[in-house]
Amino acid sequence: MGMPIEFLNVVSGFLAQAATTPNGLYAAIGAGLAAIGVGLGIGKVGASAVESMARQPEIKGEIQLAMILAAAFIEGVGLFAVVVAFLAKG
Amino acid sequence: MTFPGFNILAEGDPVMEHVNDARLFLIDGLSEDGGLSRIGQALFDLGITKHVALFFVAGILTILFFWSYVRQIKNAPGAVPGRWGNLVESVLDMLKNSLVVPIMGESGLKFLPVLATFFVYILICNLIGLVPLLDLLGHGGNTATANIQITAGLALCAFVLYHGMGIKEQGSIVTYIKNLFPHVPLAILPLIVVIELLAHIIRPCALAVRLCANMAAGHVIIAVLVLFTINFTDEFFVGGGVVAVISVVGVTALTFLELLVALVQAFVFTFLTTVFLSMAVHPEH
Repeated sequence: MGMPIEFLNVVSGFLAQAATTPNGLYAAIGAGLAAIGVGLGIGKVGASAVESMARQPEIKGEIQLAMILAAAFIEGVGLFAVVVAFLAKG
Repeated sequence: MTFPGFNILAEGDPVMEHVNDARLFLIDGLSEDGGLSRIGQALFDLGITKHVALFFVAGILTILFFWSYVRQIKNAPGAVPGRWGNLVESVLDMLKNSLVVPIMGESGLKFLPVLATFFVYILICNLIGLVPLLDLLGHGGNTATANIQITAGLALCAFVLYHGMGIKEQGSIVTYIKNLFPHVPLAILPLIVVIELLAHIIRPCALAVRLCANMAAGHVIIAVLVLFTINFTDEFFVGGGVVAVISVVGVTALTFLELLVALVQAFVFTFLTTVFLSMAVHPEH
């Protein structure tokens, strides 16, 4: 019986904190948007890598290397955004 | 003495405790007057924390990585490499064929020792972070490269390396600075100068932040998954077993991913250093 009351307590506490000092909320929204960008970018790289591996299977190794490299760069950009979110959270 | 920017992330938070730095020998329940605690505090006043000590250990391991094979070559030159020699040779072969020669051509082979050192050093640091029981040395994270100060130091070394090698290869500082900026009409030259200077400052910062954020983020996710079980069992004792199974499966999968990320991030750091080196030594403008 106490569980729904606890849940309401936690949620209303979070909403109150988000209304007065929304730093954490804005930071989390920013990090989530960055994740959208990273997902789209790495998806595109993966798709074109797999397609070109299908067209020319002899150079599969080089294509795989290039794909992992490009994915690491795109992920780096996403993590810059996460670091900015952490710094903005205060 | 705490240095500025000692811990960007929140202190005392149970998740961040497993990623952030701490003084050596900060073990629970150890009295502050004991020998180990005093040694830890004295080292901390000198600036030596857990991450710095593990970075130093990784340095010694890097020297041993190459030196074991070098000693074997010296004792029996021309012999077939043994098991360790095969590992060292395959790492150097991969660096030579996929990294240095495609980017810098044959003339870049004289930079292979420095780049191989960067690669192996960062790789060993990242892999030490995945070893689980280093809490015997005290609280705090054990990934040295998850610390922005350590990765900033590595990026500073790469910065000094590529500018220094550029100056050396092109003769004098004046020639090097003249070649830093592309030859464009005088009208947009100020803008180009500003952009190029900003690029030269931002590139090492990006190197540092990319490595640090990748390592720290991976360890934060692993810590959060492990703490699922602990927090759930604290509140509801029953059903903790189910959460423990999910937690363990998640942590195993993520540790494999962290292994891949450790390798890839070491490679990306070395790759970018090679690209900057080739741009400094043979300016394409």
